[in-house]
Formats: sequence, structure tokens, C-alpha cells
Amino acid sequence: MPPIKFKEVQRNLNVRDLPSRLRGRVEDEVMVTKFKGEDTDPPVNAVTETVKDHTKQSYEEQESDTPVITAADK
Amino acid sequence: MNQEFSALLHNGTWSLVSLPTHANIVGCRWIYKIKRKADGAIERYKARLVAKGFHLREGVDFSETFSPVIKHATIQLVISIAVTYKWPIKQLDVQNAFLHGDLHENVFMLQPRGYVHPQYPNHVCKLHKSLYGLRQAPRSWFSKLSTKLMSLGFSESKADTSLFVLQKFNSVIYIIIYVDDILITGSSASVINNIIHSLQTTFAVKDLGSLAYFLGVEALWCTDGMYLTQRKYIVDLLKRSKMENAKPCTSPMASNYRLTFTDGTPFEDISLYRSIVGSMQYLAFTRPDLAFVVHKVSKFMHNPLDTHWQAVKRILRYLKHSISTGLFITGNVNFTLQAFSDSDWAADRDDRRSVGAYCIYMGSNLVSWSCKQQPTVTRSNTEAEYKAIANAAAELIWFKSILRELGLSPQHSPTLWCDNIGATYLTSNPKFHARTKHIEIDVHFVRDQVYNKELVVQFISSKNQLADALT
Repeated sequence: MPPIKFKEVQRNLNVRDLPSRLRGRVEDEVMVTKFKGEDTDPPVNAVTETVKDHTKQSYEEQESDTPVITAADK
Repeated sequence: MNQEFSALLHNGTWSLVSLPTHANIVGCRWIYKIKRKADGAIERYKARLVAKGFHLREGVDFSETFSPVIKHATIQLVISIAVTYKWPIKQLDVQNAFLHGDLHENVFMLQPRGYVHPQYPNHVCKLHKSLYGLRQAPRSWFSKLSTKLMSLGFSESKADTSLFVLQKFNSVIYIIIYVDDILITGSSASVINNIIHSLQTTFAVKDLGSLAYFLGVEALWCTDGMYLTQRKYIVDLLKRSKMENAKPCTSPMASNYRLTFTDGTPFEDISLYRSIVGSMQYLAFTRPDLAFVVHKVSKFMHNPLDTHWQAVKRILRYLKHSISTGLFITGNVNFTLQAFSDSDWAADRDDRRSVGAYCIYMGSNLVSWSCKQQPTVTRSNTEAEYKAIANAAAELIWFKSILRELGLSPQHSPTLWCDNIGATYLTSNPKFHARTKHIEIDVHFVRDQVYNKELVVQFISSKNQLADALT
């Protein structure tokens, strides 16, 4: 059986992300430290131009970023 | 402190008497607390006089104890119903709740520090009313409150004694009691207001308005339902464990990570481990995704190793990542019950006991879940699954009874989904006798339920097994 992503587990158990309008300063108390100590802007995915998710780890069973296909790869 | 002392005197909590001979004298002390709002801002400073309950002697100063604590499944159920019918949910706070209880035993207490009567410094307080800290205080408060609710026409639920139901004049009202915190919901806003006014004539009841923050759980309304979240609690937990600057991660535990009693060196701060894991257990109130991992790390509370602490830190990092999540309760549900049960057979390397888990949905709302190690070792996967089915079936029966009391009997028998064909067969036929004759008789009550069409057990593939996440 293929492994399922933990996000799917959360969804099945009705654990959902709060809508952005319901988020407040409570989360900011810990989440502002996310890029602490970095002078530059957070890294951006070259293809999608979205900010890379720093929350993702290198554990093999976890979700990986969408692969970036460059011209050289083609 | 002056306010609290005045309230106690006004309430006739005690009278000063000369020190009786051979009487057990209970001490007292002041407790100070900062009450905070949901966003962490200071609401007020509070002082409370508490009796030193540990000075009481059982059988002399008190006999029975009980505290009205609602089951978390009842809260989820009632909120689901209220959200579905778009009923208002109001939150009440009873100020100095325990002081309302009448005391039937002779209890003597020292005069409070700072408020010793100048003329009678050697007198003691003979308590007439209950006081915080007394062992019998919650019981006498609940007795007083339930008597009042009964007089208003409510009936006490048999399935959960902290739930009261009123069905009168085509309106239905539910009251949930968690010691001195009360939720009230129902079909008629005017009846709810009348009940609140009636309660206010007897108790100092504060109407906190629409449900927003109850038992440390934030309720956030949205157009299609409600989110229950404990994000402030998570922030506090991260700060307490000094993990607020940790790197977040997307899952609470690596899938191939095995924890045992022996692999690792003893963790030096056992209190910290117990405190953090205990807090995580409370977090599981709104986070079924944590049920399995918290169960795993809870097993080592008595003797944690550094590997166990690593696992706890991983959960904390996951909490940081998922701080902005909540348990979603949708407003579009029917009242059909469905349960998913699963087990991991002999997965524990230390004692080879299995973990049984279930999750129960009412419509599409998750209303109850559990992840527990089975008390005995099972000889086969089928047996472990069959035991998990029995546990889920017991919870389903409880749900049916509470729904009946709420006037919402489901039209169809609940369906219990299991991903083990052998266990599914066992629920309807006494097959595999040679391999199942050792299974305890009580587990076979599932068969009676299936035979009486009170329950339907069906097979589901492991791919679609929702309880798989809990094992």
C-alpha cells in the first residue's frame, strides 16, 4: 500500500487549516521566529515563484517540494 | 482579596466559634491567579481563599467525592448538533461556584491569613457552606446545581451525568457542565435567556455570550461550521518546553521510528517530560492527529529515555508547524453514526501488546476517537482487530443511548468499518472456533449487537481505513 501524506491523515480526521481571516497574533508569537536570523528574503521556488516551505524536513517519508525542472534537465 | 473575603462573609460561608476540643482543624491559604483572555491579554487579577483539603480525614470530615466533568465526546456531539441546526451556543461562568454548596459535615478551619478577627484571634471558622479546596466541594456544588436545573424541568442524562436536557413547549435545550463552566444551547434563544435569568436568581452566573473559549479550547465560527482549536495552549507549550524557535516539521513522528523501554539513556528531567506529555494529552481534545503519537510517548512517563524525549521534541516541532489548525465541525450533517476500528497487532516490541483504535463520525463530523493499548496480548491479528471492534461497538452503543436522550435517535443502525475480513466474519458467525476459543466471552457481545441489528459491521480496505492513522 503506498504511504499516504500526513496532510491527508489530518484531512480525514477533520483537522483543517484555519482560514486566514481566523488567524491572529497568537500564532505570530511563535511563527515570526521562522526566518529569524536571515537577512535576506526567504528562498523562492524557481518555477512556481512561491516561497519555499521551510517547515518541510528531509525525512524520506515526508512530502517533498515539487521538483524543479530546469532547462538543463530537459 | 478584600472582594473575595467580603463575598465569603456575605455568603455566610462560616461563623466564628471558639476552638472545639478534639476537632480536626483545617488550614487555609490564599491563591493568586492572573486570568487571561483567549488572545493572552490580562483580563483580571484574582485572589481565592482555599481550604487545605489534605488536612481533611475521610469518614470524619467528608464521605463521598464527585466532580461533574463532561466527556469530551459529549461536547463534540452537542456542538455538532448545535452547529447543524444553527442554534446559539452560550457560555456561562458561575462565580465562586463551590461556595454555593451546602456543607453537611462539621468542618472547622483556621481564620484566613490577614483577616484574623481582632477581637477573637483564637476562634476558628465553622464552615456552613462549601469552600474551594474541600474534598466534598465539587460534589456539593453539583448537587445544588442539578437540584436547581431539575426544578426548571431539566432531566439528567443517564449516559453522561454532566449533561442536562429540557424538552418543553416544542423547544429543546441542552446544558453541559464542566465543574463551574456551563454551555447552554437549544432551539429557542428566548427559552435559553429565561433559563439564564432563572439561574441568575440563585447563583452568581455571568453570561459570557456566544461560545468563544471553553476549557482552554477556542471556538471559531465560520460560514459553514466551526473550528475548535487550542493554538494558545500550543504557544504556551512551546514556550514552556523552550521550543518556540525550533524548526517546524510536517509530521509528528517518522513512520519507521520505534520506541522501546530500553533503547537510550535515561532522560535527566523526568518532571519536564511528564509535564510536556501530560499537556499533549490535553491537546488531544481537538487534535485526533496527535492521538497515536501522544499515546506512544505517554507509555514512557515512568522512566523516559533520551530517545523518548527526541520523539516528544519532534511532536512539538509538528505542533509548531500545525499551530493554525483546528478540528472542523461542519453544519451540514445527518445523524448517522459510522465508526472505523483498527489495530496494530503486536507492534509493541517490549511486551507485544497491540494498540486498538477507533474513530466515530456523526455524519461527516468526527465526534469521538480513541487510541489505547489493549490490556492483553493477542494471538492473532484477527483477535486484536476483533477486540478493537468490541471497544468501538461499546462506544457506538453509548452514542446511540445519548442521542436517544437528546431526542435524536438515528434512523439507521450504525456501521462499523473494519479492515480485517476474519474479524468481520467473527462478528456475524462463530467461525474459526479452534483459533478463537480463547477470546474472552465479553468481547462476543458484538455478535449480539449484530444479530439484533443494532450494529452493522462491514469490511473496508486498509486504503480507506480512517482509523489507520490512530494505530
